[in-house]
Amino acid sequence: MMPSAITDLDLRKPRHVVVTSETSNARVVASELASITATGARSDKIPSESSTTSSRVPQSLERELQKLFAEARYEVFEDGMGSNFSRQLEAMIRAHGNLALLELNALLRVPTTSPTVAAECLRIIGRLKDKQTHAFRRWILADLLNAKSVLVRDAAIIGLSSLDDPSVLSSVRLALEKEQSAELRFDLDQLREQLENPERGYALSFAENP
Amino acid sequence: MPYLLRKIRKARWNPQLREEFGPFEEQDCPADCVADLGTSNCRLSLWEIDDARSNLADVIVALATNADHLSNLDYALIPRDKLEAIARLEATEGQTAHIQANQKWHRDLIDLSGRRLVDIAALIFSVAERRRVPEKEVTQMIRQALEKKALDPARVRVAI
Repeated sequence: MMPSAITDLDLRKPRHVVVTSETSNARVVASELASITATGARSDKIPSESSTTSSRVPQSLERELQKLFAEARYEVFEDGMGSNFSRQLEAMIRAHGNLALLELNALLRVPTTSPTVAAECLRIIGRLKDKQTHAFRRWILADLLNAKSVLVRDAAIIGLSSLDDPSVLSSVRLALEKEQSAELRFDLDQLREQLENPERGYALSFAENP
Repeated sequence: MPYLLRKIRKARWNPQLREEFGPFEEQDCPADCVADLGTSNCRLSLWEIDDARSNLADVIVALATNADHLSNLDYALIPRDKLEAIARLEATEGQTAHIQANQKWHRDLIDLSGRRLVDIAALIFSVAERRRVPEKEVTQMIRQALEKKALDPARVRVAI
């Protein structure tokens, strides 16, 4: 059966709390989606499903990320080159793990977020080598293959190409069917081909990511 | 027909951006495209690619090794005659780790005015072939170039 919604896709979501633009921080949706695996979230930093206080992203982290995104609004990014934004964002994800991604996931969906900054964020998310946050990063990237902005969709493709995880193949195939931009269809097809021919590398094996 | 290659960020040139950020006039392109055309001393750095594209991989490696970290490499291929109708080309030495590419294929488009630069952006937007080499492929290409000793290891900036 063809998946009809993101929840139908074969995505292995991490054990975490998902905040979207619809929920903001007012309504937090708890997701207990998978047992912690090698790709799962840091157990010491992940709020329990029943928790009400610790499930919130620290205010300072939320503000820091918002400030980082605002400051990067007029930064000119180049492929392969570091930037203030990339260095600070990487440091924050490494320091706060899935909590930072939780907040980023919300920021990426706020309509006022600059598509250019959102796109740069996705490239960084895909490029990071961090097993602890792998599953959450993969989910964000696969989900944003359906973003409204062509810049964001393009960056999701690049991020998934860097991530090189074949488990998103069904999302890529679905996005390929729906994509309106001829250029992005070409890139999605290139990504599909890459993921259908996996090599042993960063991509997690089934044993590591059941 | 030879081409000139310019490293770009392909998403900036996506025709759909005309709707996302526009509307723009028929012959015009989104302003962000100009971000891929950084000049210095009114010169724009380009690489000549032969008709058969036999040196394309070498030039991609040259550009990819000149970065801070491994990534995809997006490029535009523009017919040389169309660019020469806008400004003059001059052969100059490239500043990358690829020894042969630096000496043989690097070009500067010279005497550029702001208006000419916008004409070049419109040309790339309308006629250039725009392609992406994924990060994984870029990595393999760099490894092969290192094995063939085509690169000066001291000038390779990216970690393989």
